[in-house]
Amino acid sequence: MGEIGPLLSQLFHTGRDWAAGHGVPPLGAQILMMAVQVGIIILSISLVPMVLVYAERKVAGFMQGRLGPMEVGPFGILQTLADGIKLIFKEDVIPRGADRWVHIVAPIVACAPAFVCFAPVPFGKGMTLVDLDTSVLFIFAVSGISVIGILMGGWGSGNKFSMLGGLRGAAQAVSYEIPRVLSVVPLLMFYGTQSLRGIAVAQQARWLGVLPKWFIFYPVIGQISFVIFLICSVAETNRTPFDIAEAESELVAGFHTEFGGIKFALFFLAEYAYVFLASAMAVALFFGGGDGVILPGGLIPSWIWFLGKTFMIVFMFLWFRWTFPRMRVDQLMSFCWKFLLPWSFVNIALTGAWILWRAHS
Amino acid sequence: MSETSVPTSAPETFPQKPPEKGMFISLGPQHPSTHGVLRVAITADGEVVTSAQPDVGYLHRATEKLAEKRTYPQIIVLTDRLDYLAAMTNNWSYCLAVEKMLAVAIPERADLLRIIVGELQRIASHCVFLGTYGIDIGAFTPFLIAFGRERERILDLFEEICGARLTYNYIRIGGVMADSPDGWEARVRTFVKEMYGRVDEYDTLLTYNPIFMDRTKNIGTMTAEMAVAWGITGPNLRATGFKADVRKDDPYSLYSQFKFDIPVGKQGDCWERYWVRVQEMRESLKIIEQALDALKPGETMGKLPKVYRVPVGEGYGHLEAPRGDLGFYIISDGTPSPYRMHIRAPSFINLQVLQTLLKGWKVADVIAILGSIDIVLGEVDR
Amino acid sequence: MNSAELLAAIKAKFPDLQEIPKVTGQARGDELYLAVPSAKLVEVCRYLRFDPPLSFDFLSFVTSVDFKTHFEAVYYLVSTLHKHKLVLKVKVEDRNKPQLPTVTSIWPTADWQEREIFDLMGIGFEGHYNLRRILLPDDWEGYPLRKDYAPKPDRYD
Repeated sequence: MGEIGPLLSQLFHTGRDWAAGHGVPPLGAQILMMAVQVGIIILSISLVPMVLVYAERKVAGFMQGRLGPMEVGPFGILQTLADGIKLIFKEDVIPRGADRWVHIVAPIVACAPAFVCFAPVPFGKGMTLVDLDTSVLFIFAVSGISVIGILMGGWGSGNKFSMLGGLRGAAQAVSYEIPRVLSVVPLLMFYGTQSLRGIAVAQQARWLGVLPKWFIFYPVIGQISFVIFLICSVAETNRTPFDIAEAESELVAGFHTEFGGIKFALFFLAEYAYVFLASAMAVALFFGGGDGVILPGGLIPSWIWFLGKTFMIVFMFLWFRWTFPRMRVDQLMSFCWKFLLPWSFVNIALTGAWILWRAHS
Repeated sequence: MSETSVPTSAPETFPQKPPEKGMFISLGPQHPSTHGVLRVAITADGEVVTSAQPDVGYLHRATEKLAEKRTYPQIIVLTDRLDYLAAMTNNWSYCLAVEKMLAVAIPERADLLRIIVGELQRIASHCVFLGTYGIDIGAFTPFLIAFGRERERILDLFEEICGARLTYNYIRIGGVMADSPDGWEARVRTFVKEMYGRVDEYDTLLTYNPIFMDRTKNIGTMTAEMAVAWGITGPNLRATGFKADVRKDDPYSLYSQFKFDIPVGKQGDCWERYWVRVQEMRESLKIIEQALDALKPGETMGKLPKVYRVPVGEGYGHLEAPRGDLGFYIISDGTPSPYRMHIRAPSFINLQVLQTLLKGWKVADVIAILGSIDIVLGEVDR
Repeated sequence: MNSAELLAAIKAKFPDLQEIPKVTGQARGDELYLAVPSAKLVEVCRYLRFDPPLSFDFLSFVTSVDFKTHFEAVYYLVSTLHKHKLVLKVKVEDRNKPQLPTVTSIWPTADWQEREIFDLMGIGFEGHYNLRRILLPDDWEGYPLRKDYAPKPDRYD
C-alpha cells in the first residue's frame, strides 16, 4: 500500500488514452505523456538540491554547535528558496577578458547531464523512468560530460587562476572515474545485468529469512566496493576532502568564481544533483533499492525506503565535508592512482574467485 | 647561501614586468586565510616557489612614536593593540619593563592573578591558532569548537575580571587593575577541569587526523640553527627541538615556583609547530591550577605614589608571550613620558624567516607554512 | 660568565673598548653595557659570535635612539649556550648622513630590524642586501622616529 508506481503508470496510460481520444495521433499522445514524465523528473530533481542545501546548512550548524538557518520560515525551511530568488535577481556579469559564449554555456553543460542521469534510477516499485539495459554505463558516461562544464567554467572566466582550478578539477574528476567504475564491475559480474532496477530487484531475497541479500553485506567484496564507490563519488562531486577545485580560494580563485547569479545557481544545483545521484546509485547498487528492511512487506512503500536510504548516504557526504580537512592536489591524485585503483582490481579478482567457487560447488 | 645566512638579493615586491622564469603571484593583503593584512609576493616556477617576499606595514600605527607623547600608564592601552589576540601578555611585558626601572615590589596576589590571566590568555591565543590553522588546511569544525566554544569561555572569565573581551588594560604598573570578583576562582577551576578533556578532543579531531598530518608533516622544516640565527622564538623555536622559554631561562614574576614542562618537537615542521602549541595548552592548565592553589587574599597593587616619576635610565623587560619572546626596551629621561620605547615584536622577527623558509616548497604548502608560524599583524606592524 | 668576566674576556681582544658604567640613581639592568665605535662594529660582533667562551649566537633585538645631537644603535645579545647577556651601544655621530655597517652576515635576524631602523630613523646600513622601506609606504618622505621630524601634510590631511 502506498505504492505509487502502479498508480502513476495507470495515470499516464489514462492520460495517453484521453489525449488519443481527443484527436491527438497515438504516437503524439505517447510522446506527450513521456514529456510529462520527464517534466516531473526534472522538477523533482530541481527541488532536491533545495532540500539538500538546507540539510547541509542544518547539519553543518549542528556539528559546529550552532543552529543553522532559523529565520526564514519555521526552522529556516524557506531559506534555500529565498537564496534561490536572490540569485535569480543578481546581475549577470561576464568579465571582459572572458570568452562570452563559453561563459554562458559552461553552467548549462555542467548541469544538464545531471537531469538525464536520473532516467534509469529505480525510485521504487514500478517507478523507474526508463529501465535501460545499460543503465550503469549510461549514467557514468553522461555524468562524465559535466567535466567539460568544469573545464569550460575555468576557461570561460578569463582568469588564469580559475583556469588552473578548472584543470585541477577536471584532472581529479577524470582520474577518480576509473576506480569508481571498476568498483561497480564486481556487481555487474555478480548480477549479470547493468540495469539498476535489475540489480536492485535481485537483492530482494533474504538469508536465513532475516538478513537482506544486499551487496554490501557480502563479506569483503561488498564492503570494499562500497567504500571505493563512496570515496570516488565524494571526489567526483568535488566535495571536501576533495574540493581542491572549488575551495582553491585558500590561494587562488576556484573555477566558478566569475560566475554569479543564475550561473552560480546552476553550478551549485549540479553539485547537489550529483550528490543525490551518487547516493541514489549507491542505494540501488549496494542497499537493494526500494527493499524494505524490518517491517512486514507493504507497510512502508518502497519509494519511502529508497528515499530514506538515499538520505542516509547523503548525510555521509555532508558529514565528511564538515569533519575532514582538505587534501592537497598531489596527495589526492596519488591516493587515487596508487591506492584506490589497485584495490579495485583486487576486488574484481576476489569477486571473480567467489563466482567461480560458487559455480563449482 | 645556506639557510642560516641572509639571501644575496631580494626581488621587487611590486614587479613591473613578469619574472624571466615562472609566474608572479601576489598573496594579496586581503585573502581568506586570515592572519590580518599581510602580503606575500611569490614567484613560482610551476608549482615550486622560487622566491617569497613578505610585504608588511599595512597595519603600522606608529605605536613607538605615540608612546613618546603619552604617560607611562597611558601606554598600557597602546600595548593592548599590538598582539590583539594576546593583550594580557602585552600589558604584562610592558609593565615588567617599567617596574624594573621603578624597582617596585609587586604583591604576591597581584603576581598570581597576572600568572593566571597570562596563562589563560596563552590558551585563548592558541585556540585561535588552532581554529584558524584548521580552516587554512580546510577543516572548518575545529574553528567553531576551539575558537567558538573554549575561547568564548575564557573571554567571559576575562570580562568578569576586567570588563573587556579583547583589549583588557588589566595589568597595570605595580600590580593589576582590580581584584577578582566573587566566585571567579571557582569558575576558573571548573573551566580548567573541563579544558583538559577538550584538548584531548582537539587531538582526535585534528592533531592525529591522517589528512591533516599529510598536509603538515615534513612541510616547512626548520633546523634549530636556522631558527636561532633568524631570531625565532616561542613555539616555532621549540618545535625544532631547542628548549628555550623565557619562563625558564629568565624567570619573571613567580614562575620559578611552578612545576611545568616545556614541550619541544624534533624536526621543526608545520605539524610539530602545531603540536607544541597544543601541548603548551596542557602545560598552561597545570600552571593555572598551581597558581589557584597558591592564591591567598591580599593586595592587588604595589606601593606606588599617586604621581610617580620613572627615574632616568633605561630598562628592558621581556616575557614568553604566546607568539614568542615579547620585550619592551624603554629609555626614560625623567619626564612622565618615555624618551624612547622599542617593542621587540616576536611576530615581526619570526616573519622574516619566510624569505628562506618558503623557497623550494609547493605553492599549495605556502598557506600551511605561513599559518604555522602564527603571526598577528598588529604585532608585526605595530 | 658574569659581567666582570665578560668584560675581561672582551678587553683581552679589544683593549680599547669601554664599558658604560652604571650611574647611581639611574635605572639600568644588570647586563654588561659596552660602547663600540661603528668602525669596529663588525669585527667585535664577529668575535662575540664565534669565540667559544662567549658565543653570543642570539641577537634579541637591534634598535636605534635619536639623542638630538647624535644617533645611537642598541644591540641586545644573548648566548643560548652560556646564558649570559650583553648590550652594545654604537654612537653614530654624523646626523646628516648616518651610516652603520650591517651585522646581517653574522646574525640574519638583523635583516628586517635594520630595515626598520632605516625606515623609521634613517640610519643607512652598509652592506645590507635589501635596504628598502619596510613599514612605511615606499614613497614616504622623512624619518618619523627622529625627534625633529615634521609630518608633511598628505592627501588625507
